[in-house]
Amino acid sequence: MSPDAHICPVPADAIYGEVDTRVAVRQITPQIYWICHCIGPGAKEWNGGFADDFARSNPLLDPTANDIIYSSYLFLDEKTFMIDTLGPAQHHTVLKALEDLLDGRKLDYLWISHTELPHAGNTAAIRRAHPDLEVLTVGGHDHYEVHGLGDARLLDYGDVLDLGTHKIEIIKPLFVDHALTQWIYEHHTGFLCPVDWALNDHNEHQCFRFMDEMEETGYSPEHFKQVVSTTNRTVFAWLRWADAEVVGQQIDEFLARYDIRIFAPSHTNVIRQNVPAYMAALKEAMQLAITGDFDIVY
Amino acid sequence: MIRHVKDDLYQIGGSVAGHDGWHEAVRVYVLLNDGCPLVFDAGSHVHSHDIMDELKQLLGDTPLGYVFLTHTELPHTGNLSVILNQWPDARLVVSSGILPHVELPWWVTADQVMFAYAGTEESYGGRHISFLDGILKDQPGTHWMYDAATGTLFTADAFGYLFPASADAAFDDELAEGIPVDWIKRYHDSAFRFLPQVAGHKVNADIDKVFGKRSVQVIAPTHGNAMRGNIATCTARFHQAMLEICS
Repeated sequence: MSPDAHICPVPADAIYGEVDTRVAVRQITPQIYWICHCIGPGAKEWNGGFADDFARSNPLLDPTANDIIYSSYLFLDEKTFMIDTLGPAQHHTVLKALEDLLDGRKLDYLWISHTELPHAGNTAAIRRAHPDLEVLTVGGHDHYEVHGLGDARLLDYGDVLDLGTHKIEIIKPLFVDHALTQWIYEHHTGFLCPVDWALNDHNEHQCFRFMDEMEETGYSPEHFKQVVSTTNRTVFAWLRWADAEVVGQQIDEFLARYDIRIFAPSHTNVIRQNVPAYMAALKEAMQLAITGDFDIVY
Repeated sequence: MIRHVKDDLYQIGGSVAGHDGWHEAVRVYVLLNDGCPLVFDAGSHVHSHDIMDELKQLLGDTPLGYVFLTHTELPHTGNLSVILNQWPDARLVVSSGILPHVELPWWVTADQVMFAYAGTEESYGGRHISFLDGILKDQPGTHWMYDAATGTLFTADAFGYLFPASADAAFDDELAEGIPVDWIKRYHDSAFRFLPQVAGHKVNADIDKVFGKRSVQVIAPTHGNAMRGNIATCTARFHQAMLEICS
């Protein structure tokens, strides 16, 4: 069977669990799957109602968008490769989704983008389910044992994992919070996982949608820009010490270097159409974030 | 190793050795608080045995009242399950910026968790603890905390430093030259990879705002030992480290 003829082993609208355990599977390409968690109805209560605060600071934002997506990705090639694990509360549902997607195959690689719980919290559970698994993470540091990654294989920028059709390259991140952070770029599909960059929120009618499906609910690159300019002040609070012009140049250089056709962060609805427009919006958003009010309590 | 810092403040927890001989501390701080002890961060799972021995020595028969998390990364929460198994009635105090359904262990129940809001002060077992944003941090839901009774500022990852084995558990006033800029720089250069993208004088101005608002007598970083001797020297060296790392 050719890679492009691969049949999705789970229903297109598969959802496992509910509320805090809720996990959905979306097929991005015949061999790349998006495994994602968000609360859905009730997100305002679960997430502290942050949308009201955001809308007060920026009236262009949706005051009902109280939900955030948490993403893991799975490549089903000659080798199988998973990006991040979702959080501890989703451990049963992410394992079930993974089992269904793998359909009897073993998981070869689990790559941890960074060691926060929403990204790495199920590493031990996935390792127990797939004992031959190789855990991969960020090289160039020390003291991995306190992060639960004492026996992980360490990768450096420029390393390439050959999965078969897909070639996963470890790349230097442009925006980091945790020091043990890497991004990846897949050359065959133009898939970029920039981890925490570009977090956007959503309302209960927008769960588990690709960005082009978000547009069916009135979403647009302009809306994306407004949201990211607000959320990224929280995600990357260090931006208040950065220079907007320099950061803009860094983004331009990054976008020139990588032919991004699938933009797949950890906390953003996956962008698979109209990518240049969203990248232009993203650059503006980061510059707006830097020059905005961070509202820090000293 | 139990170290008495000041008044009823103690430092426990361990350190890990790096391949190049530089050690990183993973500390836990304890305020005995006259019958309702408060613990700041839960420590690493790799130090679980020692932390529990030290906590039991310090607390005796007094049950633990509260565990304050600076943030939820594993070096700060790895020993949480053991602590809460030992003292199941202890409450967990976390930043209002975290989302429990993705940032706390799944077995933590809603009624165990108390949220703390930056800019507020609350009483825990009669002890007033105030909360502020994490000024220099590597996770959004990080807060700093201040105990006015001892003048202690709990700074999470910031103000950490790497040290040679000979300096393990030594406070700044027990080192002949204090904590060198190089030690502070080594840690922050590694822990905050974004610093080369920012202006050091802006970082230092924000740090100065924090210290200008309160009488800090002890700085309590998770990844270093408490700084209690000469706070002005410690902050000056921190400033110098920022200027050397940042753009």
